[in-house]
Amino acid sequence: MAGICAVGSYVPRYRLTGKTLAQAWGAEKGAPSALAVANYDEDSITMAVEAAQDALAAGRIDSAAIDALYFASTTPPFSEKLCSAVVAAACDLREGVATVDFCNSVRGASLALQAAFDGLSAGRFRTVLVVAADARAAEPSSALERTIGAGAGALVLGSEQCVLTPVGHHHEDSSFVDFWRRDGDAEIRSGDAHFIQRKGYVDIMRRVITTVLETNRLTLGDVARVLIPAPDRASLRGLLKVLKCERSEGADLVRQIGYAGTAMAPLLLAAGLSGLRGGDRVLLANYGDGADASVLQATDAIEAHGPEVARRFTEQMTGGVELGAYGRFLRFRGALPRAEYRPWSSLALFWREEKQNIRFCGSRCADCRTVQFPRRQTCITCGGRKLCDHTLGRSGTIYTYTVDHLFLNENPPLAMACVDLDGGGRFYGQMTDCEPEAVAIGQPVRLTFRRLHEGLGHHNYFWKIRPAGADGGAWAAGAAGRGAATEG
Amino acid sequence: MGLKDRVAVIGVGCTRFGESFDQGYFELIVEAVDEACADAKLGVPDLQAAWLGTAGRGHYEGDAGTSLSDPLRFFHGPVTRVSNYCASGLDAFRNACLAVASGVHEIVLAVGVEKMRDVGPRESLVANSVANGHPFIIKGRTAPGFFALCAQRYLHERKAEKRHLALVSVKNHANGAMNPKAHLGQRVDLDAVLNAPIVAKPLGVLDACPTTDGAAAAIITSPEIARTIRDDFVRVKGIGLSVGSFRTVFDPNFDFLGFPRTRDAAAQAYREAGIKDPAAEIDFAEVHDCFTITELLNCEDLRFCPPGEGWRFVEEGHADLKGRLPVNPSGGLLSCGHPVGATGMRMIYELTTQLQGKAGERQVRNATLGLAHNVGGPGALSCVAILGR
Repeated sequence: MAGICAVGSYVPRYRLTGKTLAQAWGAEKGAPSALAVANYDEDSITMAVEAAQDALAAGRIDSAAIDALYFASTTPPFSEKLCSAVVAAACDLREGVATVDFCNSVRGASLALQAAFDGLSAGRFRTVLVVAADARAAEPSSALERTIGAGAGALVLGSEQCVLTPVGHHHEDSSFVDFWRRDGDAEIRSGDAHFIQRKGYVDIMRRVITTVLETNRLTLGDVARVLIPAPDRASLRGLLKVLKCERSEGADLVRQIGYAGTAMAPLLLAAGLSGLRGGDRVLLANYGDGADASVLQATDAIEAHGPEVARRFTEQMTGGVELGAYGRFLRFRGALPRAEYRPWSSLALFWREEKQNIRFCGSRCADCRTVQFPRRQTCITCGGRKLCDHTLGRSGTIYTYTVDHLFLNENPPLAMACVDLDGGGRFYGQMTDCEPEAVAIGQPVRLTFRRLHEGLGHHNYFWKIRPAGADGGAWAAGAAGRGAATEG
Repeated sequence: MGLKDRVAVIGVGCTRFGESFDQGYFELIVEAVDEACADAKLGVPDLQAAWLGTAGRGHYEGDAGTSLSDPLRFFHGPVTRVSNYCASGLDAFRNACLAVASGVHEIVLAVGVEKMRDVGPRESLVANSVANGHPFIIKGRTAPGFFALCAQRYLHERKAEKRHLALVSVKNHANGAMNPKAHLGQRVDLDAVLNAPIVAKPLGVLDACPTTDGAAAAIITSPEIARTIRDDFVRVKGIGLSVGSFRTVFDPNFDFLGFPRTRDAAAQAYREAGIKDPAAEIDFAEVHDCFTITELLNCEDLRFCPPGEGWRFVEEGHADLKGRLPVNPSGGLLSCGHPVGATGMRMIYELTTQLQGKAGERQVRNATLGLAHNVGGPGALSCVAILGR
């Protein structure tokens, strides 16, 4: 039977605190304790890559086993072009993997999840990766700005080694108008909060949750975890009140990182797996252009997987760094004009070098075994011509570095590092998500897929270097394993 | 059969290096060439072929031989543009020497020129690294950023401190203060260098050469013809050029503690010149001190001192103007500035002036054998030329 085999999460490093918002706008009510904020080089694609890698590592799943990748977001970096295909390449999934984007609704994750279950049930796929990521923007100083966070979640679905299997599902679609963004708008809009809460969120969510429980002859008391995303805390309180539910799992999460849109449902799942035992039931609901609710049942495998997911998730949550200045937040959002920066780019080069630049594949000399990047035709060490593909490790150690104050960057100064990769090869590139003053020779780092620049009016993605957090070890183990596996 | 004693420099010219806001690319060329012609007592029509060393691109100036032929109205012979990063000037000189040594031409011109200050430093070099080249592979690299990688590793690996980098700057600025052609004419003290704003950690503003305009030229012929023109001509003893990878930062064999291409170019030049022990035989050197760290690495690569001891070589005063082997008596790139294509030719100008005993206050005593050295790109290539009396 098809089910969820692994859960992954990604919470970006920076936090916008209520204090910083209050400093920017004057003290205001309802300030959150913190909102997770995407770095200037992050978007839904890059965060999705992080979450997907996290899920694969947590579940010890080989990326070659994935048959399809579904990407859900209301903030796809491209309005025309499959974002899922970019994510699939950066995750080095098999060429020809099926990719689909589920956009335009914060309920995208559960829409993708159901489609994935359908694909599995129909026997079309054996393993599907569902990733959801969002980095929504609201009008500065608006109430919405104080509730929106960024993040990504990922689920691997398959038939073997499931940790959660579906018990029942119910959904209702609706044209109810609550939050929207017109084509061309940079920021989401909304209307009367009380109306939306009462006639939209609470009514629709109550119906789907009640229905899924009743049709499966269950009550809330039969459910070990109640995971309900909500656009704000007042809405959630209102819903729990009508459900007569005293538990509010996930409310803390919203307080710490804000409402992460499409990513919220999988993030709640990542936060809620810890402590589950085989046989426990989970209610996972989702809201947006209607609502849906699923009851899932944990298998015995949850007892190993849950704590692993929770550990990774907790590290991401606690690894947050306060973004002290509101101006930096505006800069990260791309909301401020900046000095001219005109990087050259090329479509033919994108195509020719996908293996190298996106899949991060280098060369290895068949004679002297030197691993090298960028890909070469003649071995840099021995001059041999027998070079084969080598999937590079995505972790390593800083050989040398600098902090450059000259290079144009959205978050100066820019740390540049030269890294000896685990498994061989050397990489040189920009660092991100780091405190430049803390960078050091010998520091363990990992690579992260980021937006490099906008040459050609296109999002140009490439790999950057970030300090290996406490989660770096597990990532490194996964990456090194892949490196060894593809050595040829 | 090498170049040794088969080619002679009979005239040199050099503009003042600096922010030449009132001179364009062509005006810089004309000024340097006119000075070289006056020095050799020849006119442009006497020159049979010419080489233009220039590294810049993206402007119509510098893109072809026309950038040299046009301002000089040099329409009677071949003109070749040479581009090899920071060694463009020296490589233009090298090619001119080869032409004379081959016997195809008798009297030729080599010019190095760059116009960099028509835009701000960030637009001049950083914008170039953004706008040109690979869209991903080295985005984020700047010139100080690359040499800073070397400096960080050097400080980590050797016993050197940031103070030793600063000593290079103090020495070269002191020499440059005696050079009327230098961009920066002032001395700096150790505190000023150590406390200067950081450009790329650990390199501060005074660890870096300025962004500069300039041109320099040399007229080259055979020793036989040179003898008919002047007594104090200077002979070419050897030239080496080694060209490697622009992607050294990705090379797992590269240790950032020196440049293999410099060692190779120097080996070629030493062999040609018959030099066994450069530390004892070379009297003075103009080396590529684009950043303070670079000079320390060069002193090691050029075998002026043992590997890892460049900092000690400078600290003990051996590289001082009155030291055992004065390095950068002109003030180097740190003081003269670095108009990329012009720098190598400015070094030829300095070597010639020193060997002729006309360097004034900054004259090196008993200067009979001088070395010029460029390292270009991120340690990608190097050219070494040795001139003597």
